[in-house]
Amino acid sequence: MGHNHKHQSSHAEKYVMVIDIDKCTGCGACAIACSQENNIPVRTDETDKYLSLNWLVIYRITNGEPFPKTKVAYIPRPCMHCDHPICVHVCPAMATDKDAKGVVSQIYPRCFGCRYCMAACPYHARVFNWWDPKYPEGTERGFNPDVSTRMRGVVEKCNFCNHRYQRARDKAITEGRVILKEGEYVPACVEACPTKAMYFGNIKDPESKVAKLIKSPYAFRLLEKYGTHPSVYYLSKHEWVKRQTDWYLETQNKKQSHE
Amino acid sequence: MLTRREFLQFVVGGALGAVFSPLPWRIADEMVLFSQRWTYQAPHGEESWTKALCQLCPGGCGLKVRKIDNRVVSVKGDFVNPVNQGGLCPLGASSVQLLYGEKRRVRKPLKQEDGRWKEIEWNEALDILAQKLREFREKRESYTLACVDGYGHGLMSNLIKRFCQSYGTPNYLKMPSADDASSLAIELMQGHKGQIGFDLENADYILSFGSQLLEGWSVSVRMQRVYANSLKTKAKIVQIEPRLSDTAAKAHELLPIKPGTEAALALGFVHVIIKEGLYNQDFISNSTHGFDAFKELVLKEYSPKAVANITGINVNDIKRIAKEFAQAKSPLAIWGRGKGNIPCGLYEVMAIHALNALVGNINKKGGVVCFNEIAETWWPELNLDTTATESLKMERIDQARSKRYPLATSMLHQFAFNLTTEPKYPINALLIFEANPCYAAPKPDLFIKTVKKIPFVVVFSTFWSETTQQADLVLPTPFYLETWNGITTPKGWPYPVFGISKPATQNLYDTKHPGDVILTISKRISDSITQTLPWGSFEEILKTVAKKIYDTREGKLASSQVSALPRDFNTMWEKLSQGVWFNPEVKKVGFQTKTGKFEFLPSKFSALYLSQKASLPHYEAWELEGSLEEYPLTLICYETLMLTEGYIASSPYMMKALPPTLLKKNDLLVEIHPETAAKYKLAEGDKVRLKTPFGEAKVRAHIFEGIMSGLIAMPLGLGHSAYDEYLAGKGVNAHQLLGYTEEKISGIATWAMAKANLVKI
Repeated sequence: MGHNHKHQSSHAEKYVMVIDIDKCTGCGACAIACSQENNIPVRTDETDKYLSLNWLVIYRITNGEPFPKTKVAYIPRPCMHCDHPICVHVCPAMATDKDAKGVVSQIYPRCFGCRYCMAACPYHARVFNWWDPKYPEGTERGFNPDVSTRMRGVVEKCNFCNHRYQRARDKAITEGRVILKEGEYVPACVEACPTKAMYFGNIKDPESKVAKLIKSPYAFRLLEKYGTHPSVYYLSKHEWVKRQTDWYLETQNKKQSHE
Repeated sequence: MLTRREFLQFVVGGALGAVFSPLPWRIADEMVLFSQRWTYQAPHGEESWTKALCQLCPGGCGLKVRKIDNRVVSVKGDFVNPVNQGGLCPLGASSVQLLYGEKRRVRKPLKQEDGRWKEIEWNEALDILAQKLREFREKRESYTLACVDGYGHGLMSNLIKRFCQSYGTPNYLKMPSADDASSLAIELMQGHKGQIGFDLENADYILSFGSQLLEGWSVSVRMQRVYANSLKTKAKIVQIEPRLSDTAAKAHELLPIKPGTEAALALGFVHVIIKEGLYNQDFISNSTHGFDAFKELVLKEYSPKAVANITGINVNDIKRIAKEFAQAKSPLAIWGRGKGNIPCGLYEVMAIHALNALVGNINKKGGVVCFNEIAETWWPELNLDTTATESLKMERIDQARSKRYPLATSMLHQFAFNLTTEPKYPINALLIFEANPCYAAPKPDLFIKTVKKIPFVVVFSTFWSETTQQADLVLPTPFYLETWNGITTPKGWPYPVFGISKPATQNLYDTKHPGDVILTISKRISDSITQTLPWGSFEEILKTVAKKIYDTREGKLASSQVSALPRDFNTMWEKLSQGVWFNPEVKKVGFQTKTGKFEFLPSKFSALYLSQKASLPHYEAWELEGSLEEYPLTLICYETLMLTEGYIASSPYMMKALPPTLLKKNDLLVEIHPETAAKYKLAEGDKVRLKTPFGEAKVRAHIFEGIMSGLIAMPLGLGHSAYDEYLAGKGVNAHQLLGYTEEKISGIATWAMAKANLVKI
């Protein structure tokens, strides 16, 4: 955990994502936009979700009430880009690292497919290429050149559209700036969201929207009890949503320790 | 005993053998290949951005298209566009995949000869088409041409209608949807024939009769936004639906209703509102006609108790929701099941719209708004020649506007039925414009049979669909990113919008815009048709409409930013092809009925000599085929955002995003309530045979709490046999099981439900 924190404190950028679960309708535009942006392969049969390769998955939870009082919440789950990334610690090949701006990276040619990271990640954010990537015939013409396609035998995951950061930073540097302005670097999923339920920005900038949102009493993170300190925050006013994402245990523990 | 010499010989020999045998190298190579097989990497190039308007649904969202050299690599929402305001939907986000997925695309004009496809040049294709059409017209048999319009609205739709009229055929058909009942009801009650919009952004109480708002109703992106805003404004959304759709799960309240009884529930609400005197007295007494007769009928027949019996919703809920609705500031009742593609009955829409009239929320902020759009009204007057006028007098094959179906305008199901039984005259040629009736028409098998009976079938299509497979001639049309196109007001949008989309990339294949094809062949058929369709290209039509809009000096332009109309037309055209024109201050169209009022008792009905009750909004149970003994269950269909139900099929990425509770390998899972499942001894994932009077299919059971007992639900949009391997052979086409049920008065056929039974395999 130590070396990551050193990086961050010396840096003026740390990117986080905030997702308002109450606003999310589970439409799936984020997932499709992500797939298109990151040249994600697609096989003819994707119904076995253990083998289906996605960077952003939308989980569905319900409040457990009987019909017709049932309510549904959707939880879009990109990589959490934890401040304490267990996957980084277990990687024997140093194929994954937490970079200065807070993104947990993945270097595909360095990965040899041991999948320790997948076992370590409590969010199932990492996926393995069991096959050579396959695409519908002809769609290679629509590949994004900023993102390399991944070979068989490596692990891949969301990287907050890191290539977009690079493009935005290159542009900023030519304009004589080092720190990006709000909105200059936004991942594809956030951009696509029709309800504007997803926010993205630099929390080191106190004026940024995300810096304000994470202070909201409704903000929480997934499985906080593991101490992974994710960079993806969620907002929900519903107790049942928070309870199912493990926020409940955390506060209960806090309460007990106060007593 | 091994001597030292022998040992060394063995070791050296073994080493040499290993070095020279291919095996270790082969293994090493395989290991390298397995662990690190380099994949294709896309070439870098210069990045550029251009704008386009999405044509994948009637929404017409504004897009920014990212290009690397000549390749389109992604699209994102245009923040300036008033319709999507930067948002995307899964289908729009799939644009690149749909553009480049070459297995799905028709790449060259094709002719079918003895069951074999032959690629031909455009010249030959147009010659064949023009010659056939000229021949029928010269024989004074213009009426033997039929057209199926897959657009449903907008400039292309109008162009096809105009072509049909000037050619002289009454047989213009369109793909059925909830719009049929919608337009008809508004025409009867308000005398308005133009656009119908719903100002949902400003409504504070939305009563949705089965409209799947979050699953693609109106414009998908817009409705997601309306929902998100409702959290802020505290507008209440009440969903009336038999199953827990996403909309139902997200709505503030769900009223589970017996499918097909929506009209009764609406009238139950009306009963309470009238009885409690909660209606807008001012509006009712000054601006409506026939209220007393309507009141008498509703008070007599639709008491909450009676309605509770029909719909399965309890009396207290009926009373409470009715009061909430009437007491809200701008309540709005909306209709159109699913995405608005599943037809509903005329009386159903009339009953629901009567609620809007009771609260007087018509042509007001947050209400139902009626207006005309220039893109519809600008067309110059038609001067038909005698061949056309004579031929147009023939009765339509589907008998719409005949004595039997005086109110109907287009009935695809009757067209198929009549043509396969005893048609009054044969159909010699069928033109299908960007539609997929061999998959999406009610009873698709019947439509395939119909198509086989027609000697000359021409399909205009971008995609290799079920319908193109039945064609004699396939004319490839460009994908929306490859062509000039115009978008008109999106479905349900509260004010007129008009936009021009210019090609984002050059034509990938040998395609032509269907509008251009119509204009070209018209010139080859006869001079009189040329006179009614004088434009040189579809682009010229777009320019003419843009000029008409420019001349009105009304509305605003949204291109790089929102601005007033520029002073000269060239700038306007330039900006319009980078965005859209819109006019929130459009003049609303008041009541154009005979009485000049909103008519609960439509005067147009008087010509039909109906009974008093039949002239009023009332409830009639759908007469579903099959007996209760044989089919004790009811099958309903639903829509999801990841599945599109017609001509533009779900992209591979959308298929990938389907939940595992919907598709397992190639098997469709149908939703069944635990109680029903227990009755049939079904466990999750069990294989069952699903039977209806129209067909049967092998499916799997998905035990689902969120559906009413006694119902089975399946999605529309699966069970394709065409397109590509990402779609074909997966699941079951719901149309094959649902058939259709017809409403007598309007001739509208709905496939919303059918009687069904399950047999465990």
